[in-house]
Amino acid sequence: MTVDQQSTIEQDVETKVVAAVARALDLPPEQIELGASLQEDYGAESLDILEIVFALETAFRIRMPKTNLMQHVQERFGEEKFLHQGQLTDFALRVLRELRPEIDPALFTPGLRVHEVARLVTTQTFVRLALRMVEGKAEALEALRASGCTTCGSHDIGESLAAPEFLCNACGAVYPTPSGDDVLIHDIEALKIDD
Amino acid sequence: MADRRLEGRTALVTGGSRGIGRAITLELAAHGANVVVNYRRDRASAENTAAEAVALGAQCDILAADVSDDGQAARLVELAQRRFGALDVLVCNAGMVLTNLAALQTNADWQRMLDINLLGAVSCIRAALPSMLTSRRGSIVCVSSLAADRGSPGLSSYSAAKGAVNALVRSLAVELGAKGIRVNAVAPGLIETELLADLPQRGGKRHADHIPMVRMGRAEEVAAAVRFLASDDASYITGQILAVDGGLGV
Repeated sequence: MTVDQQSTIEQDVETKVVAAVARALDLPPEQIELGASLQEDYGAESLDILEIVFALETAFRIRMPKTNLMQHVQERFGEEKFLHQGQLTDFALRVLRELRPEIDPALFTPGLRVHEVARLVTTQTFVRLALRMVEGKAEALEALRASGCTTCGSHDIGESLAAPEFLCNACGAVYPTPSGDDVLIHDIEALKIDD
Repeated sequence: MADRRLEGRTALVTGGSRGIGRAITLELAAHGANVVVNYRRDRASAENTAAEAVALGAQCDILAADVSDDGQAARLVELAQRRFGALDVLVCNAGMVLTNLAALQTNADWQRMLDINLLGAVSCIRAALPSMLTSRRGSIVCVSSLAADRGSPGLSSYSAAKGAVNALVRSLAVELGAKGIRVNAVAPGLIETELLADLPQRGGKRHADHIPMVRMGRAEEVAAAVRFLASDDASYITGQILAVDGGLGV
């Protein structure tokens, strides 16, 4: 993929994410600032966040993560390493800075509690997440084409236009696109954080 | 001929091939909705109901799925949406009744009642929400029962499951109201259906003798209430359990 193509995809994702956020919050798109906190600056509630997630799934035919990042990270590293007296440990803060580079690192301050991380989520967080899911889907399709259809062996596999699925053009076999949770877990596994 | 105020809307009716479900399918179809009829096993009945719906001028498809299986329920809703491009009305009607004394019902019996009558609705609703939330429109109608609020011998697990459905409806209405999704239920009393044949009678009295209107209800009367709640006629109604019981619950 060329730099120009990548830039076009990023612009497309950003435009659609801003539109989804604006619609969920009943605001005009021009009022949405990429770096503003959805919860604190726009008063977003959990159902608004869910609406954004569903809108992005429809727009890009992707499957967004259903379990939040904090749960995945805690499961991966264990609660002891992640939390101390209800507060995120230094290690946890470093992990989050890596996984959420779009958020100002200075906001991951000592003393932060798990539930407070949601307040840091911005429109840019969703842009990054959607881009990652689009990228994860492209990677999965490439891998599937390389290995071939498990039913008929054909390498002619494409993307469904109706659902988050891949379709074998030779025999019609259907493959789900990767789940957002799998993509997140993959990224967490790939982290290199010193203890 | 019925008015066509549901023209262009798509409805999924779970358990929509027989009894009250069949009547709901036909009522929605008669008012112009495209209807997807879900059935579990009885394909012949589903085909007959669909043929009647088509004769009323509706587009109608049938889809087999056991909604007590979360995966099947999700797939059902997805296919229904794909068939007509959207889902505007979800009628959670699939259910069954188990009549036995509480002392003789096993946990497996209870689980079965909850799986079909409660979790089947939960699974379908969860699967329908992405589409309804993003379109900011939708009407969900659960078919509950008068038994949810009245003690009846032999119906403990059924009543408990339907009571949970009522609680679910109220909670969802509050959760989803701001997004333009309405959630209501109808609570039929004694309706002339196959299910009722299993209900115990008391003291040799006819069922109708206990009802202020001194007659049993008809499935079509329940269906009319569902159609009302599903339509824009009920645009400011959510979280309600509408009794269709001839006054039995008063």
